[in-house]
Amino acid sequence: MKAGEIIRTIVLSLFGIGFTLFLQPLCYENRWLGLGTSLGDLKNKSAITNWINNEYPKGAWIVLGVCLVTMILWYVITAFFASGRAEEFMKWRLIWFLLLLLPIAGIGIALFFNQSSPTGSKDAQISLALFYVFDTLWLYWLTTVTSSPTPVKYVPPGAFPIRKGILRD
Amino acid sequence: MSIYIIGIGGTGAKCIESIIQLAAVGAFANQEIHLLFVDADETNGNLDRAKRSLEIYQKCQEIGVTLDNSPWLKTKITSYGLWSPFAKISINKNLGALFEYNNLKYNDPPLGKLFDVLYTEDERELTLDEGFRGRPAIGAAVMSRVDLEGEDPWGAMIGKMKTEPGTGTKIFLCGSIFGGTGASGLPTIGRLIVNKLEKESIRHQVQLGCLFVLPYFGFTPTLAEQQNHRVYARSDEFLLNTEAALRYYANQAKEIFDSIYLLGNEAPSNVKFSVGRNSQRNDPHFIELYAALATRHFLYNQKNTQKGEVVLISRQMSGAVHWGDLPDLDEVKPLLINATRFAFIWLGEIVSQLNNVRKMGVKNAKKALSWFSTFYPSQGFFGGESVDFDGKDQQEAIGKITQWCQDYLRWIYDIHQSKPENIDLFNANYFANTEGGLNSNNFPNLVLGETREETRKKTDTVENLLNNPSIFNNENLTAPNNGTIGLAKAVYRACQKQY
Repeated sequence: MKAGEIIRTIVLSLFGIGFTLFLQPLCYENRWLGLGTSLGDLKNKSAITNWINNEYPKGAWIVLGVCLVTMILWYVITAFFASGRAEEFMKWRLIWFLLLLLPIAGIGIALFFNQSSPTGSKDAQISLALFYVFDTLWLYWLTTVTSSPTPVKYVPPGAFPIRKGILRD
Repeated sequence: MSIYIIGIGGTGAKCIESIIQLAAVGAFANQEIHLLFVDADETNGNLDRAKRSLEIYQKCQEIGVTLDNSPWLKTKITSYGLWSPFAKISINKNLGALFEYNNLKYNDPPLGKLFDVLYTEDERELTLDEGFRGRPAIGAAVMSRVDLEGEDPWGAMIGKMKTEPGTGTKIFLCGSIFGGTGASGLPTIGRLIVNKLEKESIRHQVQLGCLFVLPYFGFTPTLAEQQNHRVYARSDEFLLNTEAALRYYANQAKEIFDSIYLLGNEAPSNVKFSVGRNSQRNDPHFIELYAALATRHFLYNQKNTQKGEVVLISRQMSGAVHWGDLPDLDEVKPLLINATRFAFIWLGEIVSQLNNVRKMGVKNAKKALSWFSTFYPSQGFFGGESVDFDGKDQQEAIGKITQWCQDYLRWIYDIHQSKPENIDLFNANYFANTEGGLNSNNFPNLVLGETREETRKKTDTVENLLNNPSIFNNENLTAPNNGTIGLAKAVYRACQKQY
């Protein structure tokens, strides 16, 4: 990997971690993005604070961890095994999509914990799912799209217009 | 400075073939090379192959695959084509007809009888458009009738020399001294050229060199072949012919040449017997690589030799040729290595990837090959240059570069098959089959006798090269830096940098 790709990955990951662990709880706490009306079971301030402190981090860490591990896994296997030959393109795209199943499974597990926990919030399921999808897009799709190693730099969907067209990479 | 190289006979043509390949790798840099083939056998297989290599090189060179800081594919080679002593004779191409033997017998009987003493009936009546059958006595008689006065290509060649200022012009004659055409043509044509140059008062501004190739191959005709041909070259007479030719040179022709190069090999390679024509097609031999290097030496180092001095080279170990045995090693070795690596990677990797592009289409190829859109860009939203991969010019350029790579690797492979010698320059078996049989994994191990660090060698893979944008890119390449030509330039430069 080039230095630029590594820097991009680190910066985007830090932003992703920031979103997941700090910005998203803040959205719930301050009822931004219309979250005030949708959360029927977290009406009062102390209930929200309690949920953010006890329940939210479990799911957030699962999604965050799975996304970061999947992203690192992608970088490692492509750095070692990708040759950059044209005939391998479909194989690597399939692998990229198969790896995407891990964050999707992570979202499912995180939502399940929130649903099944006695202190979880059933009304937060939809907003949580949307946040987790955003986190996955940011931490897996965007990082791999902008920073995949040269042999597979255009393999993630949408990578060609972004890297060639916008980043001029 | 320009050099005129005259290849006489089949071996002369083979020497020229090696000179073309060495010029292609960059051993002659920016010099202009003029070639002339001299052979009575106009359909000779060796000549045909040399002309084919020249055509392939010229086509590749014309498209402009040149780098600023490398002499690769830079040398301009022009050819005066083939000159045959029988070019103007359409029937009765034999010695008797050429010397009007019947008239001679009738009008001047003593001379006719002398002719009978010198040449047997078979030799008089032998059709000579298959060459002189290893008989220098026949060749000398024919060659002595060569007239350089105004006859092309000689007239055009001398005319061109007259227009060249200063003392930079060089003429180099090469051929075998043990066969027919070369042995008879080398001193004779050399003398005729000197006479002509003196007549034109330009002898002082022209350096004349000559390469005598001593016996380095042999053959054994079968009984049937012996019976089919009354007059043919005999390899057991090669040494005798050589001795006589060298004696002639020492006594009669020493003053002709400014420099003389002698090349030979004690262990002759076996070749297929042939009396001439297209079947006389002997594979390139390592001696011819030395012949090309001798030409290079004459071009660059001739000032260091005395007039009439004989230049010899030897090797460290009998039966083997290593890098250390090559003259001008520091200049020549990297050029040979770079060109071989380029040709290998082009045929083994680039061509197959470009074939994949044809199958999957340009749109998909841009995503599948990280380097593709660098060299074949399409017009963006705000304009910019675009190169049509499917365009005729791009496809033709791919074909021309591919042909050159195949021809070059074929030559270097054949050089390594000079049995019974061991040629330890490249792992030539890795490119034995240049049409789809190259394994890219062998790329780091192409060169024998390497002094590279093992770690550097380990990382010197095709994958690393093509996926390393810091060395494989089109930045700082002279125009055109995209399209097939840009791609070839970038691959060559990356091969150089990664080694």
